[in-house]
Formats: sequence, structure tokens, C-alpha cells
Amino acid sequence: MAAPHAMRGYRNGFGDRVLFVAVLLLAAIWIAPIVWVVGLSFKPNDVLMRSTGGIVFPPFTLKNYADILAASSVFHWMLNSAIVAIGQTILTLLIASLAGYGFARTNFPGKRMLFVLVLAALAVPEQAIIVPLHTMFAVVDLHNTYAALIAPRLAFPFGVLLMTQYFRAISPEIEEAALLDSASRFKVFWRIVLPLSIPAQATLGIYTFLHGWNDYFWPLVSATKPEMYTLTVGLAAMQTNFAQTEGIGFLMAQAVFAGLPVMILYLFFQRYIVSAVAGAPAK
Amino acid sequence: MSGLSLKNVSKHFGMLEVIHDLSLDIADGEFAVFLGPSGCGKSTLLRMVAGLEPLSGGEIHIGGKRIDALAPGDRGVAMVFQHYALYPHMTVRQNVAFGLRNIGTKSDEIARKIAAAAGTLEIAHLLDRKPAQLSGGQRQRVAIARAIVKQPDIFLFDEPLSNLDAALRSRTRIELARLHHRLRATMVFVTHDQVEAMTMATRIVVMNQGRIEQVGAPMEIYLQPATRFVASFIGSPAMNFLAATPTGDANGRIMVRLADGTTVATAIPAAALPASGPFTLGVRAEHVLPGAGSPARVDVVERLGERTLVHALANDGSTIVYDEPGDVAPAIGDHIQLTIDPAHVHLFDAAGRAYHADRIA
Amino acid sequence: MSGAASSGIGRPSWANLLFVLPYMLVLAVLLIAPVGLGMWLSFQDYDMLGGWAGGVGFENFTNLLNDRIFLGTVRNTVIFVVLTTPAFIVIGLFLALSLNDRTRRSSALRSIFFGASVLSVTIVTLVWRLVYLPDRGLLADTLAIVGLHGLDPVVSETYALPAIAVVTVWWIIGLPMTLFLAALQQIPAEIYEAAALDRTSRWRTLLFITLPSIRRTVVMVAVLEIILQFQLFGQALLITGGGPNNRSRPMVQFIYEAGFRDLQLGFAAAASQILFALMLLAALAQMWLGRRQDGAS
Repeated sequence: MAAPHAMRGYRNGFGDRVLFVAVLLLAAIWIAPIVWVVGLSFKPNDVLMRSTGGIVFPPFTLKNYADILAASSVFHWMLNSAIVAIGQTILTLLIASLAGYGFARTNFPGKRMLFVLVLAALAVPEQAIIVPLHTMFAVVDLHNTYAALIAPRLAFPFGVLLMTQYFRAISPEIEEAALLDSASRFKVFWRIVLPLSIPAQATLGIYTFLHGWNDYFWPLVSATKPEMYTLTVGLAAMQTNFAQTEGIGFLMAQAVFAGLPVMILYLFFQRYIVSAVAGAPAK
Repeated sequence: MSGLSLKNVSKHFGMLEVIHDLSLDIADGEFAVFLGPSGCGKSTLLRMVAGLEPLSGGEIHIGGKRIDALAPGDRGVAMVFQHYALYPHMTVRQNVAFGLRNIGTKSDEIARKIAAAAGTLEIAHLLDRKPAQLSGGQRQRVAIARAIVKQPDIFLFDEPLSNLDAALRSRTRIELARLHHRLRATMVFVTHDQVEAMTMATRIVVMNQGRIEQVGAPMEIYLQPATRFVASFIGSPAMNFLAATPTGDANGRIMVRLADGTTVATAIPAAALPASGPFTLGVRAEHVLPGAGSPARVDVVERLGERTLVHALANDGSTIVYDEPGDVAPAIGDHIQLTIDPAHVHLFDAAGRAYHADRIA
Repeated sequence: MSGAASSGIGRPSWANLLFVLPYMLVLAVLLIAPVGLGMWLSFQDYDMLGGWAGGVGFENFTNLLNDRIFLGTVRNTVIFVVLTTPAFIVIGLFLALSLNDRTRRSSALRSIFFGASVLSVTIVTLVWRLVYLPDRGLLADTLAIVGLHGLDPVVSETYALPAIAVVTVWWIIGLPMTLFLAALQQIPAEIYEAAALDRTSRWRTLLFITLPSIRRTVVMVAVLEIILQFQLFGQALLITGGGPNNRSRPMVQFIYEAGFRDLQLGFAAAASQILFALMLLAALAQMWLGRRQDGAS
């Protein structure tokens, strides 16, 4: 966070303390469900059947987590999610960087028109095309494949627009210098521009990965076989027979376990994640 | 190495005409400076030579070969950019080598060329650093080294000194002049700073609004500016301009009366002048002499150290600047008298065209 | 970004088209074609089991406008947007104003408020279904302390939609907070220094300097949230299933059920067009507001 100035000179008053307590209270409310779920995930199911009070008191157990490792398909779903998210990320970085460079820095016939088309695509929500998209994949019999899970997200224009914007901000002098150094257009892109765009690649990569990992609607309708479920779809499938479940500790452990990968990512790349998520709609 | 020749070059961006049918020849080994205010088209012209801006019309030749359709890298030119345009992710060595590698130069030859250029520009100790670890002056040297190793027919400089501080700028001016002398290469240098033009150029091309105002050696342009624009752009402080009315001639030399009633008997041949029309008299600060003459009142005093500029108000309200050596100067509000040296005045007609006295050696 | 493609470097060449070609192909096949196909489908009687029975004109649309359940989902969606958008703006702005500094404390608190945003909808709903458990959930346990028993928002006609709204605000408050923080940091420090020299009180600084400076962002966040919340789906499907008595079923769930449970593709496509149109209206409103603000300032 850049500027420390917004309230400079106004700190330390009584009002500040009230404000701070209010924020603290809100933070407590915000974090309570997570703490509660994480805490109870370490308690035996039979204890939880009786009461969910007293998180801090023993007995504790790792049985719920052991059950996940032993029985459930969570691992397999995680693998599917990873394949889908990583595949989307790599392909998006590739085609969005190419297209972003093309729009930002080269001239070709019809460029303006194509760019308007990309901007217009921004207005199309996933929900508006999911029925025809599903029909198209059904016609070519691609459902329940990784290709079907990966492909539709590649069409979303956010990455192209982000990269276009970023490439425009790179000094054209540097590319001109490379052209005078007898570099081909593709070489300018590959050797000069791409290495300079690593921060934007990181932002777009994290954004794409998170969305791929967390995507729900498309995998829900495309992956109908349990072995092709992604983590989101698999977890949702387990929730549908929620009422009958006897082990809420097991459910809690599952929530924690499923959330762990992105939470670890969040801890390491918080700055990038925040800017990626916040930069997305601010196009 | 060879000369540069522009033939009827023009450039427009949509409806906006930025270069008007411009022709120019720069001989082999010259240090030509394109000088003009921002927006005059000088940078566009340079970029057209480099191949970074397509021409709207005309031809560009280097060493007799037409190059305006070639790719930038095939034109035999090297360019030093305003912000140096070093590749931030490459070391200095990689920066300098990049262009050579692109044209398939052998590794041992690249190493030899880099060593030579690094020696010339005293950057041998910086070769393994990244641009971000260099000072402005060091980046400048790397940018020049990157140009030198290509042994181009023509060096192009796009305001490369504008990002340096004053001390470094004057030092770099001297080094560039020295470099030109040693390489005997053709150099084209774009700037809006008349001091850079005066100190480095063998020939100055003064540009304004997409046209050439004057081409000439520095002192030629200083002493005999072709237009009022050139006269006002070259020299510091700027030339004084005073409204002048012709009152006749003496021995074939025109006489004019200024707004405050003073008559100046110029050395300008009367025959050269158009019959009528308003004129402006131009005279540089060093040719306005304090002492006897027309009355004036001191308005502002600027002390520059080795000399002092005095801004005085004539009794018709017009401002005249003259200079005094050292710190000898009147105080603000003092009443003084000024004379204009008639041998060194210029006249400009309504269109801005200049008329000079016959050249005094 | 809205400015059309500005001129690039170098002369135009067909070869440069190769840079954008891969993406344009993907865009054409996976986005533009489905939009077209969806429009066509919405005028067809197309049932995945029964097959294609030809065009039916506007019948799908008239059926939708006479469908009580569909109209109910429109109403639910609008109520949901009305519930969540002000909450996102008020809480997001409050957090941004409170946490806009470089202290460790604020940074840690920001992490807490943003953290849930990285979780998927299914994890969030799993957590909150546990929180909402009637006897043993966190909510029931907390309410029991103050003597309230037996509240089960998930099966309540009154509380089902608000319960989903609470989950949604909890989940993605980080987005408006971050957008407001970014806007606050664009305000030049000099303005605050000038205000301080003018002895401007804290409230007046907020009202006359801070809020006017981020007015554009407030409008942007409002429209953005409207567009986003129109797409409510997973939370409703997984927490309440749209019930009880359809009182929390959103439009997207209707599309999902019509298309993928009842397999009435034409009917579902028509509902999608209506959703698309509503969201386009919101997007146009955003552009219009943005332009008006530009003109005003």
C-alpha cells in the first residue's frame, strides 16, 4: 500500500480509538467462521454431535484429516483442479501476451475493429453463453475432458486487455532501439518486451490460476463424471447430502483441507493476489 | 561512412502536416544539429531517417543508396535515444552485444568490438552491471557504446543530453565533440538547446513548424540569421527586437527611426530592402552600448557572474537588454543612456526575412 | 483502456496479425459463436431429449414472462442486489478509510478482510452451512448466548435470501475495499496538507475532500457490484437450493435448472438473453455515469 498520508495529522484522538475498536470488532466477526471451522475440524465427531461449544478444550484429534487422506476423492479432484488451472494459466499467458503486444505495439489492417470486438467481449457474462457453449461441446463430444474444462476461459478478454495496457506503458524507445539493433518483430517481443512484462505476467497468471481453481459453473455442467470433477464441483457434490452426514468434523476438515492450497498461495503472494483481483474489474 | 541526403521529404499524421517538402544534404563526416522548438518536426525527421516513422513522401539516401523503404536495422544507422533506451533486463555487455548478435557477428569479434568501445567510453568496469545500477551519465555512455560497436554510416542522437544535469551535460558535449573528431563519422543530433547546437555542430539546421529556416555553420547562423525566428532562437539573451521605420538612406545604407525617436544609420544596403512595410530592428545585447545616447531606465538586473544582463525600458516602453562585463552595473531605477551599434543591427520585414549589413570580417 | 487501439510502432503489416490471431480464433469460437448460437437457440423449441422442433418466435420469451417461478427469480435477484450492493459500498468504504495506512496493524486487518475472497464458492458455502447449522452452528451457538433459539435461516422464507447476502458480503468484501483503497491513494497528499493548514476538521475533510475525490470510484464499485451480484448462483444453489418455496432462487439458478436439469435448451437460452440484457443495461449505465462524471468535473 503506497501512501501513508490519507489521515496524517489526525491520528491519536478519541475518535480514532472508537474507530479502531469498531474495525477490530468487524475483523473478529469476519474471522470467526474460519477460526471456528478450523478449530472444530480437530475435534472428534462424537463430541461435535453433542456440542460445538468449547473449541479450545480437549479432546483433539487428527482423525478427520486422516479420513480425508484415506477415503475421499479430494486428492484426485485437487489434481484435476490443478491441471485445469495451470493449463488455463499457461495458455492464457501465452495468447494474451501475444495478442496484447499485437494490439499495443504493432499495426495491421483491421486492428481497430478487432480491438473493439475484444472490448465488447468484456460485456458478455459467462452465464449468458453457458447453455450454447455446453451444446457446442456436447456436439463435438468433448465433455468430461480436460480440454473442455480448460478452453472456455481462454476466450475471456481480460488478459488481453491487461497485457495491452501493460505493453503500452513500456517505453517505445526500448523497442525502437531493438528494431535499430536489427531485431525482428518477434524477437523484439520475445527477447525485449516479454522479459519486461514479468510483473504483469505474474498478476495475470495469479488471476487466471485463482479463477481457474475456483471456477464452479462451467465445471459443474461440463464435468459430470466424478473422476473428472474439479475440487469445487466435488466439494459441492458432497454438500448435497449434507443433511444425512453424521460427521460435521469431517466436513469441516474437508473445507479446511480444500482451502489450504489457495490460502498458502495467499500468504506468499498476497500483494500480487490483491492487485490481480482488484485490477480485474478496474479495467 | 557516407553522407545523408533528404529529397522532398514530407510527413503528415492524418490531416496534420508536420514536415513540408524538405530537402537537405549532409556531407560525409559532418556533425549536423537539427535545432528548433518542440513540435518543429526535428525529432520526426530524425525518426524518419532511422526508419521508425514512415515517410508520407520523398526519399532518403545514405551514401547514395536509397534507404527509406528498408527496415530500421538495415539502414546502417545507429541511434542514441533521449532516455537511452537500454534494455533493462540485460547487462551492459548484453546491451552492447544485442545488435551485433542479431546480425550474426562472431563471438570473438563481438568481444573485440565491445572491448574497444568500452575502452573508448571508459565503461569497461561496468560491463556486467544492469542499467538500473548505473548513473545517468554512465547510461549515456553505454547507449553511445551500443551505437559505436555497430560502426554505422550515420549516428543519430535524439536529444540525448536533455536528461543530464547541467554539469554533466556540458562535459558530455565536449566528449561528443571529441568523439566526432576521432571517429570522423557523420552525426545527426537533434536538440532544442541552442548552446548544444552552437558548441558541437559543424552545421546547424534550424527548423520551425516543419520547415528549414536556415542551414549554416554556427557562427554564420549567429551573425547572419536568415529569419527573425532564427535570430530569436539563437543566442542568449535573445536578440532585442524594436519596431523601426525607414527614413531614407545615406550612401546607399538604410536609415531607420525607432519608436522612441532615435535614428539609427545602419550598414544595411538600402537596395536590398523591399519598398515599404513595417520593419523590425534586431540587435544583440553585446551590441547595445551604455553611455551617451537615448535615455532609458533600468528595470531588472541579472547577474551571471562573468557578466551582468541589464534590462532597460526605453521611454516608449520597449525593453532593451544589454550586457556589462563582470559586476559593473547600474541599480534598478537608475536613468541611463544607450546607443545601438549601427554596424551590427539586422532588419526583418513583415514576413520575418532578414537583411544584414555586408559581412564584416 | 477505453481509447481505441492507438498507433503502434512500425509500418502496418499483415504479418503482425499473427500476434493476435490465436486469441481472436479462441474468441470467435468460444465466445462470439456461443453468443450467436444462444440468440438463435432462444427462438427455438430445442429440448435435449426431444430434439429440435423448429423455431417458435418469441414463444420462449412470452412463456418466461408468464412463468411465476422465473418472475420470482428476477425479483429474488433484484432483492439480492439491493441487499448486497449498499453493504459492499458502506462496509468497503468504512474499511478502506480505516485501514488506509502503512502500519502493520492495518496491513494485517486488510489481510483478514480480503482473505476469504481467494476461496472458492463451494468452500465458502461449506463453511457457512456449518455456521448456519440449526443446533450446533456458530450462529445458533452465538444466538443461544442471548437466549434466541431455533433460528434456521436456511429454511426461513424471510431469512434465506438475507442469509445468502451475508455470506456473499463476507466472501468478497475484499474487492470493494481494495478498489476504495486504491482510489484513496490516488488523492494527492498536498490536498490533505492544504486542508490541515486551513484547519479543516476531520469530518469536513472526509465530507468535502475525501468523498468527492473518490466519487467516481464509488459509482464504479456500485455498478460493478450490481453486475457481479446479478450473477448470484453458487451460494444460493449450495446453501438453500433456491428454497424455501423458491424464495431464494436467483435467475442464474433458473437458467441452470432449465438448461441442465430440465434440458430445455431454447427456454434456458431465452432466460440467458434476459439476464444478459439486464446486465448490459447496468454496464451501459456505468458508461453513461462515467461519461457524465467526466463532463461534470
